[in-house]
This record gives sequence, C-alpha cells and structure tokens, in this order.
Amino acid sequence: MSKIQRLKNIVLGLIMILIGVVMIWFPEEGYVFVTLILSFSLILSGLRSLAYYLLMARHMVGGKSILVRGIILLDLGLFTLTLTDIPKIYVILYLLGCHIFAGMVDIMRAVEAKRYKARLWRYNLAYGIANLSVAVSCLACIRSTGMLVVIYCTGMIYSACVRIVSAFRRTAIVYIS
Amino acid sequence: MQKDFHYYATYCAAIIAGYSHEESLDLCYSAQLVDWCSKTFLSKIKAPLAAATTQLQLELMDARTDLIGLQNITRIWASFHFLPYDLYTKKKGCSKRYQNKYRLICNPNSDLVVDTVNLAKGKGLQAAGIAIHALADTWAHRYFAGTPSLVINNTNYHFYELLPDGTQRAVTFLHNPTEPDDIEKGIFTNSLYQGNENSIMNLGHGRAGHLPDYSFARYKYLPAWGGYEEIIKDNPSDYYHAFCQMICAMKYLRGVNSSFEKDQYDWAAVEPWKTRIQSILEQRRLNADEDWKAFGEQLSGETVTDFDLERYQEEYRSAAPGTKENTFLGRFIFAAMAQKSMVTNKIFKSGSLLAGFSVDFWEKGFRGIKDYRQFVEYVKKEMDHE
Repeated sequence: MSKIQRLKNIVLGLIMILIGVVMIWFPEEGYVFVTLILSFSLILSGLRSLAYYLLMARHMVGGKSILVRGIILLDLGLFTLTLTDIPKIYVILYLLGCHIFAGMVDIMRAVEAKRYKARLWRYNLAYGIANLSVAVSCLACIRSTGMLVVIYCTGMIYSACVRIVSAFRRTAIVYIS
Repeated sequence: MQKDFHYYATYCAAIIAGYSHEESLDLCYSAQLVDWCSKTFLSKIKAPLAAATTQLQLELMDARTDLIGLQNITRIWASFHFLPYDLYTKKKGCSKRYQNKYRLICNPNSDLVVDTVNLAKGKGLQAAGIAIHALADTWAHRYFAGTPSLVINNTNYHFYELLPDGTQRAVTFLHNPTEPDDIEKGIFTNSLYQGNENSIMNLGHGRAGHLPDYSFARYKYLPAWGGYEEIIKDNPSDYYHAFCQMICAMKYLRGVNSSFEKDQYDWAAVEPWKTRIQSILEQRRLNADEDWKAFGEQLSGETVTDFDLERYQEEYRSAAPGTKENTFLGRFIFAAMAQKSMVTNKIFKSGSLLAGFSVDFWEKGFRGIKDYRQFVEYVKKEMDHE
C-alpha cells in the first residue's frame, strides 16, 4: 500500500467514525442521514459504473451492459433523492440482508475450518454469531428508529476501524535476489 | 488441472525424467500440495500464513476485495496457478488500469515460467514440485488471469464444447458448486456472473467452470479480453505439451540438461508411451487418477501411494523451533515463499501494484510482512552453508 493509500484509508476511517458517532447522538436526524446515504450510494454506484465502462469495460466482450447498468443506477439514485421519505422497511431489509449474508458466510467458514482442524474456526464462529445477532436485533427493533440508527452506525464504525487498522498493516513482500 | 495430472501424471513425468521412485513421490506430492496449502492448512500446522499457495472456496468467499485483499489473492493465484505471460505487453487505447490486468493473462512459455524453473534449481524436490505445478497450470489455465477481473476473465453464452465425433454442443452452465459436472449432458458448474470488476467470482477460470481442468475437453468461447475473436482450446494437445515440457524442466532440475528454455519439449522421451498417454488424456471422465496411477506403477514397478494431506504434518508440528526448515513441509513452505516473492517482484517491477509492493532485501533491508522474517533467516542460513 502506498503512503497516499494509507493516508486515504485513515482519513476515510476517521470521517466514518465521526459520522457514526454524530448519528448515534442524534438518532432522529440520523435516520434521515441513513436514507440520504443510501440514495447517494446509488448515485455513486451509477457514476462508478459509467467510469468503469469508459476505463475498462468498453474493451470487454458484452461491456455495453455495464454502460446500461450505470445509466439505470444513476437514474434510480437521482429519483430516490427526490423522494422526501423512504419507508423504514427498506432500510431494515438492507441491514438485515447484509448481516444475515455475512453471518452465514462466517459460520460456513467456521465449519470448514473446524473440519480442517484449524485454529481459526472459533473466530469465524464468533463473527458469524455476532452478525446474526445484529440481524435479529434489526428485526426486534423494527419499530425503533433510534436503535436502527445505532445498529447501522455500529457497523459503519466497525468498518472504519478495520480500514484504519489495515492502513497500518505491513503489506510489502520481501524479495531476495 | 486436478490431482490426476498434478500428482499421478507428475509422478510419471518424474520417472521418465530419471528421478527414483522415492524422489518422484516427493516431487509429485509437493506439486499436488500446491492445491492444498491454504491459510487454513497453514494455521492448523502453525506455519507462516504468507506461504499460502491456494485459497479454499470458503476462504475466497470470505476474502476481502479491498486493495490489500486483492493483492493477497493476486500474489497467490498469479504466482502458483496463472503465471503471467508478458508483463510488458501493450494494448493500444487502454487505460493503465486495464493494461495492468491484461498483462496478467496466463500463457505457456513465458519468461516467468523460465524464472520459476530456474528458481527451483538446486532447492530440492519441494521447490521442484512447486515449479512443475506452476508450469503445468500455464497450459491448463491459459487465457485467464490470476486476479479477480470481469474485463479479463468473463465468458458469455457463446461457449461450445467440441465433441469427439466432430460436432459441437452449447455448454450449459449452472452455479451450484456441490453439483458434479455432467459430462454426458454437457452441464458444468461455473461461478455466478457478477458485474463487479473485482468480485471473487471473476477470479481465474471460474467463469469457464472446470472445463480448463479436464484433459479431455475441447471447447471454443469468446474470452472477455479478446475483442470478439473466438478461441479454440484443445486440452488434450495442451496437456500433452505440458507433460513433455515438464520432463524437460525436470531433466534440467536433475542436472541432466544444462538449461531450461522456452518452447522445449522432450518428445523423444515420451515417444514410447505416446499412444497410451494420449488415450488417457482423451478419455471423457471427471478424473483420470486410476489410469495415470496404473501407468506410473508400470513405469517404476513400484506402488504409487495416494496423496495424503496428513502425511507430513506431525513431522512439521513436532520439529523444534529453528529446525522446521529441515522438515518436508518446512522446505515446501520456504520454497513457496521464494516463488511468491519472485513473482510479486516481477509484477511490481513492471509498474503494477496488483500483487502489492516488493522490497529488495539487499537494498533496503527488511520491510514488510512479518512472516517473511523467517524466510530471510532461512535464506541467510542457506547462504552460510554455501
């Protein structure tokens, strides 16, 4: 990882932590913020797809599909931004989906690691259980906007911490000629 | 390629190249171990995780595809399973990002395959096994890159199997990894289409399923990078070339040949068994273990024991610290680290960061992944011995 990439990871991580903490502090406004993040992430995905088409996928067999995807995502993002209120259920489903998927993958990995008698299986199982617990919490707190924001922000702060930690990881490979 | 080629056929090639039965077994064991030496395996025997030569299916599912994760994946797959053909090739009108991925496309007879064999020279049978695995895979995995990339590794509906009776049949791809391929009906498992450039589904030949791994398969398709030009892949011919080239490489490693060069095949050594080998390669079935094993036993007159992942684990685990490099797995692990370090360095020097940073120890001292400190100590010890 270059110095700029490390710096970018640290700055992004700190911004994510800051946003997470502020949102937990003001959960009602935080909920609006969560929906805004979802809309902007659609717009960003659309723009990224368009850039990806121009830089990479136009050389690929069938690359036009990426161009179409970019236009649709951008359009969808702009459309959702114009809506004043996104139903809470979509936010919950989004969180639920993410955590159930991550939890299942972790548990499957734990089973595989245990089959190979590797020591990692306990960590994987713990991550899996934690993710599924978060998914259950989402369902349990379906009526509480504040709790929903807390769950979302916890995930975001965790990602930010991983990002910052990875910025300090040693990544170079030693070469002996 | 699968166990039939990496283990049993490698044993046969080693015997033909002049290795003894015991040496051939060690060499083919190391060649096959490349497909098993995952982070999970290394964690079990408490070995340096940086020596991983493969990733299990669930490790891949769980692998992070951020910058560091992608570099780790590329180091593993480009170093051992998809040796890049030309790290300095140019494609007009492309972005640098596209070109860096394009340069990782694997093909036989590259400079890197020569470097790989040269690196293994004089380093023991474990290093030889790793080099032979990488060499053989350049034939099976040609046209794909050892890094996740939609624009390079994707395939589409235009995918036909060329059958022995001269007809062709559209291949049906399903995505359930637990379902075995149905050769008779032409139904194969491949990875799911993912529009994300760096999705793990777009690693290597995942989108073409196991077809590159079957020695009998002949097929045509449109590679994502090929500008709508059809490629015909003739595995029986490619695998035969691989077998004959492996013998050349092994003879060089044994000291019989003075050098190993590109495009060298020991046709003469294989000639007495050409018909038999071609018949094994052409048989339509999921694996050819039994036939290769019988052929190997006929060649050496000895019993070829089956591959057993547990075989050397206790020896490694019970070895005292500082003596592990004298065990079978210890030698394999350091040979794997040397190969990974060499390929990463070549990719880094070509101006691409896809496999990460490479730091020359003699110029800049020790910097980087901690596991490599053990490797540095090992190399220093080896140099002292010399």
